[in-house]
Amino acid sequence: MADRIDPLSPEPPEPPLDGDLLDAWQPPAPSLDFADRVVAMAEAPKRRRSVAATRGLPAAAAILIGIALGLRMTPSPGPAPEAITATPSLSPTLSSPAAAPLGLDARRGVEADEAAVGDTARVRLKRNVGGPAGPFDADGLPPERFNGHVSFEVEAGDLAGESEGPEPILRADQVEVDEQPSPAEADEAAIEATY
Amino acid sequence: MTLALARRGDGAARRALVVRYQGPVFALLGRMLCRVGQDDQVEDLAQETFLRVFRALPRYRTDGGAKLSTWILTIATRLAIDLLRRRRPVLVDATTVPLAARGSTDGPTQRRQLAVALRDAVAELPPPYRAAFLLREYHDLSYEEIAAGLDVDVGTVKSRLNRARRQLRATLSDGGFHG
Repeated sequence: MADRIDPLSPEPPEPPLDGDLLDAWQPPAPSLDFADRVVAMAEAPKRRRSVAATRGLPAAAAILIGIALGLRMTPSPGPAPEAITATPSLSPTLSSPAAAPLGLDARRGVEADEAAVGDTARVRLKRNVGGPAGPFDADGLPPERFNGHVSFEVEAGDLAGESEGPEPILRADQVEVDEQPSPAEADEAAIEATY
Repeated sequence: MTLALARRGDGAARRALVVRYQGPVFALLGRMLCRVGQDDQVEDLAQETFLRVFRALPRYRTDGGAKLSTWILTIATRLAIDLLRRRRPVLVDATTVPLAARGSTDGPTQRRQLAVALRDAVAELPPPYRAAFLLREYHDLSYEEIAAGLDVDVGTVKSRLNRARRQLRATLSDGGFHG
């Protein structure tokens, strides 16, 4: 398809490149089981979030740990709801005591996959128990115990590096931590969000 | 019907959606990321694209909004641009383009050289220019669709496309190829 020339364009139009030239560059093809794996990933929130940790969630999760480390303890509000929708793992570097940000930037947050704007989310800090895949892969690993609860208001927002547009994210609003994790526990902490 | 089921989280419908659009998504991401040895990144990003598609499907408008294919490619493009912005630039390996037997598009060897030359030339483009070029030349998106997807004016799209084509021609010409 030929590109039409815009008479108002300040630059002389450059014609499209030769089709034979473009065709020489063949794209990569998906593996045969790609679709199955993506669907399985979508249906396994824990696994999905551990993969997503490679694109910035560790930093956000570390902020939550920072919240937990920086706040006073309050009584436990009781057992947490069952529906777990997000479990980002922490990287060892970002969650180490030295790296955990104690100064909370309340404008940051974590993605709230299945929440709607206006929901209240309760984020639980939990400790992974480790396993063959390592302590930061939460897949299939039961939490040993919970360290705290953090309530968030779900707002429309956009995390750093995420440009697909506003989406529900968790922002720090009301924070209650019932049990402050020790630095060693924080090293192996992950978060879970329920709505 | 498939779209409606996919919106409700039906696994078979989601799978059908991925199978339908995985080719264009891989093609776009493979060319956006350009370099050899990035197959894992392409697959990771394709996977992330479809996970986001699933999440955002309930908000996707079928009445007057973007075509589904355009919408999916837009998500993939933005993910790729984000990744490229966070990543340190990769130095071009001049040895990937042999000096001999350039300029012809005949034969598998020459076509492979041509492909490598084009890939390396595209890799030199700033990511937003690269995106405009690929979406237009390989995926046949209109200026308006590209503009909406990249959240820029149509004039900006035309300008980026123009400059991308000009830079590609110059780079390829320096290498003995003609676009």
